[in-house]
Amino acid sequence: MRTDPAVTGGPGVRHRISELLGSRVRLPDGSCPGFVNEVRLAGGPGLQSYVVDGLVVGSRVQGSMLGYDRREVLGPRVLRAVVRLVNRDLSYAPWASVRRIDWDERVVEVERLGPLTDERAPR
Amino acid sequence: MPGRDEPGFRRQYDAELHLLDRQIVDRDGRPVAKVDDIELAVRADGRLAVAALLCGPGALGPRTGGRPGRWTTAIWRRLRTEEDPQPGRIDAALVTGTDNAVHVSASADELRVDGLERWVRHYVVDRIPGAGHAD
Amino acid sequence: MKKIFAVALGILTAIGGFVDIGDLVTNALVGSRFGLSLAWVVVVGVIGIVVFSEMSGRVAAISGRATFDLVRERLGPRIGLANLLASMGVTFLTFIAEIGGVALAIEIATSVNEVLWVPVVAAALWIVLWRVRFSVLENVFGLVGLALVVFAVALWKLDPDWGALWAQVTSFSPGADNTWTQYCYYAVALFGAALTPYEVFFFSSGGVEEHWGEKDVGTMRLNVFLGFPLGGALSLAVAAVTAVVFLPAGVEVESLSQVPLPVAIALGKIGVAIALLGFFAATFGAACETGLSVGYSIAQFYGWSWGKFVAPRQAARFHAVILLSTLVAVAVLLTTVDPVAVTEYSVVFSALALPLTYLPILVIANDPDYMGERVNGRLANVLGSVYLVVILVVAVAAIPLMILTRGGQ
Repeated sequence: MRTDPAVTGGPGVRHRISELLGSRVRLPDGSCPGFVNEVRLAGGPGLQSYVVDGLVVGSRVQGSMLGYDRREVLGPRVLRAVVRLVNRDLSYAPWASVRRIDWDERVVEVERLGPLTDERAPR
Repeated sequence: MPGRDEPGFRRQYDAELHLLDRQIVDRDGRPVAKVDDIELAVRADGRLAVAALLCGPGALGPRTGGRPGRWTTAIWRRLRTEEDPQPGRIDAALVTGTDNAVHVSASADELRVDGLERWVRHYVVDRIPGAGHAD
Repeated sequence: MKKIFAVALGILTAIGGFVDIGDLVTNALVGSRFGLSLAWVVVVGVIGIVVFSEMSGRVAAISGRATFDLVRERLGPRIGLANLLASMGVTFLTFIAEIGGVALAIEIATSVNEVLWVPVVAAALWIVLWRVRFSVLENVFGLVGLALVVFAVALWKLDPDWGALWAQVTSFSPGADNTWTQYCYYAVALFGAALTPYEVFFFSSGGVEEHWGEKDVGTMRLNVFLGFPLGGALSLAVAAVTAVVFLPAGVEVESLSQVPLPVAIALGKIGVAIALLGFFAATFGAACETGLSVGYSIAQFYGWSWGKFVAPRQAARFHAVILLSTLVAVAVLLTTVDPVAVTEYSVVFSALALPLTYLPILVIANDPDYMGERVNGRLANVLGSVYLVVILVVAVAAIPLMILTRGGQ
């Protein structure tokens, strides 16, 4: 787990989640695989104990799976197929891989990207 | 977990899918506002934690983006009296659970995030006879 | 017994509530011009509204969330706002048309100019929306609206050449006096008149307010599956009588006052009186529904408290929106704009605004997070997908057809 407060600009600093959504993602080699499409929270109990668990990265600035990323959302088949096709390149940056967030430039530097796991992985 | 079960917390939240744009409901079940944005605070260990739900045009405008978003924010700023107005804020600790809505433990009046509602109630609706009668 | 009565009441009000100024004007106009050659569109439209209403009614019952809540949850603030502006615009246009329609119905009955009636109608309407109970509003106007059955009676009394009428139904072509683009334009208009977004806003919001639960899904379905098709049959009866009386004479319906003429021929003065009563109730009821729907959509988008079941001061912004819309509608109508013309545009624009409201409901009706076990079944999804395509095609075609035909001329 990261303990370096410089990642986000020091303790106590407040940001809006919308500043993170749509931010550009940059890898150590300088390449840009896409943008933050979704922010996953985990933790609890109590909403105040949830922390950012990782970022879902997609090639488009905004993307929404409309819920079709989950196994149990099945129909209608046509719609599910279209949504999954459009979002087939989603990947996941767990919090541990996030090096730095530049809130002003809206850039997130990420060490590596992993596959979308758990319920978000399109099958 | 549809509908009327006791609201609880998910194991994980995808912020945009499960929280943003959801209805906030007060302890009496009355609609208060939408989750227009979420405030994150940097914890001592460097993690970003959910601090509050933000509501009102001051939070929605920037998220809407483009000209409609700028107008929303600008009009809201002009109508506020403060030097640097902040959007309505509901502390994350007040949230008692989520289902298809986000439930909070306070009443709408205590939360004080609906300034326009109170203004309209006071200056318009209460002046019309019958305003206090329910169906 | 009480239960059966409640179910019957629901179905009857759904029939009366289905027909509004858009259905009356468009069906009469199309009947006089195209005969029954576009009747199939009414059938397609009615099946569409049944599919859409069943889904949104079920979503309202199971998740407790009304349509525009979900529009924003699935589309986000940006596209959601675009949809809000479009849907509210169309609903408001329809609201203006309905108020004008009520005033026209009174004008036909009293021979006092429609414009003079507008403020009176609007004032009465606002008082109803401010003070009258939801159930009273729904039942009274729905039941009195059933007076429109007089059009079906008139058709039977006119005893037309049924074979010739059926030949029109199955011709699927515009006939000699009209072009294919005109035919398609009126197909869009009829589709839009049957499938107006406000019907779904009103239906689902009403369900949330009445606290429908899982046990109410059955009743809701009966209302939708029986009430709406029977309402559609009333619209077809209007088209049929105008086809029988006006089409051979080469008369095109241009005003609401022409619509009851076939009834006069078939049933005399008493028939006209009943038809006017039906007009009045159907348009006044629809004016209530559209007025409330303007408030529902904006309140649900921004998360305000809303509804008829709480005191107005508990839903201050909602009621302020309704009051303001009523005032603006009066101002618009006092410019002596023709309510029939407003209606013709409103039905086409409603076809245009539909996809962005339909899509989120189709998606959420499949989401077990909201729906649990009551997600769409196979039939609902097959029909739902087919109609998604139909709705998209119609929406894309609406504006080009409007330009090509210069509004159907």
